Amino acid sequence: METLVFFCLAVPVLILAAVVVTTPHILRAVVSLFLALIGIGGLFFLMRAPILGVMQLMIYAGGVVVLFAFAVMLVRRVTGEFVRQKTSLVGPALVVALLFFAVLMGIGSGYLAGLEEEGTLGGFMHPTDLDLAERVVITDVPEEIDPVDEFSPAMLRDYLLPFEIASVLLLVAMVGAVLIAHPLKQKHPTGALSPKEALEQETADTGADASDDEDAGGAGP
Amino acid sequence: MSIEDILPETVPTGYYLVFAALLFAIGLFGLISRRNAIGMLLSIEIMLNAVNVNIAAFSRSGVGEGQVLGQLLVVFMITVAVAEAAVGLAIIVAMFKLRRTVEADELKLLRG
Repeated sequence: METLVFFCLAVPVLILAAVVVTTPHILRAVVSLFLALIGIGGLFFLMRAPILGVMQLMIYAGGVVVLFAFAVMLVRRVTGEFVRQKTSLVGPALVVALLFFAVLMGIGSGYLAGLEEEGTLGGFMHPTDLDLAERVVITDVPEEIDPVDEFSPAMLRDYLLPFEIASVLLLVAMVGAVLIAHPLKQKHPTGALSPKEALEQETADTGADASDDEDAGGAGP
Repeated sequence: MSIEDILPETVPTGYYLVFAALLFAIGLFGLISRRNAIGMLLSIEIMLNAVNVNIAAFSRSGVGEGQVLGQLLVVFMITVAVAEAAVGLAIIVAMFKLRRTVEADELKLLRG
């Protein structure tokens, strides 16, 4: 029954992810990513990790996707044209992705086969398997705990330093994002070229061969 | 009423691992084949999510506090991924302001 629920979530997520990487409409890609992230949030709930599910829905589906949608609209608004995505190198990309998947599956199945030969842990690991507990000699077996109950003590007491570092990272990222995306109006005080002026000079220098490069870039399969 | 009452048995971890591997491969394909910087960032988000699913699936096998620590790791990964997305999108917006393009191939300012 739960396996059925798993497949009902996993198959649409994979299809939506495929849509994200193949559709030419960038807003459609963002919406597909939104739905795929919701599906992954459902998988977190299925894994008995409701905190992760809620965080996935709040932060990813609620925050990151909105950020993406805003970025798409900021980029679109100025040109007034619908942003279409070009793809190139589809063949090599497909080969690399399939190769990666095959290698991963090979490593995984080889690892599991080795375990089966030892006779210690047959098949995939399973939370209810007691094989794992038998293999490792545990002197004092920890009692069953509820991950939800233990989560905030772990985050806010035992691992407070990583938590604070993460908050500083977010602050730095926020300030940096504002600085990077800020309108480039100010003149450079040292008399050096502002990025925009430098760009204008650069395009004036290399304006001749720009068209050639564009032709080469669009010739992908 | 907890989820154990509705769904008594659990999905084998291997299913999650295969799913995550497929998801990561899809993201890798998108990252290589996309020429649009926003599309590349979307692919990176897919790959990060695949890794998160992997860690969460493995954390179920943990004993005692191990389950909590796996989930904690995923939360920190989400934090870093969000920071990465914010900075990446800011770079794309700035790049669009400067160069009027979001195509990664047209950025050749650093080309020698």
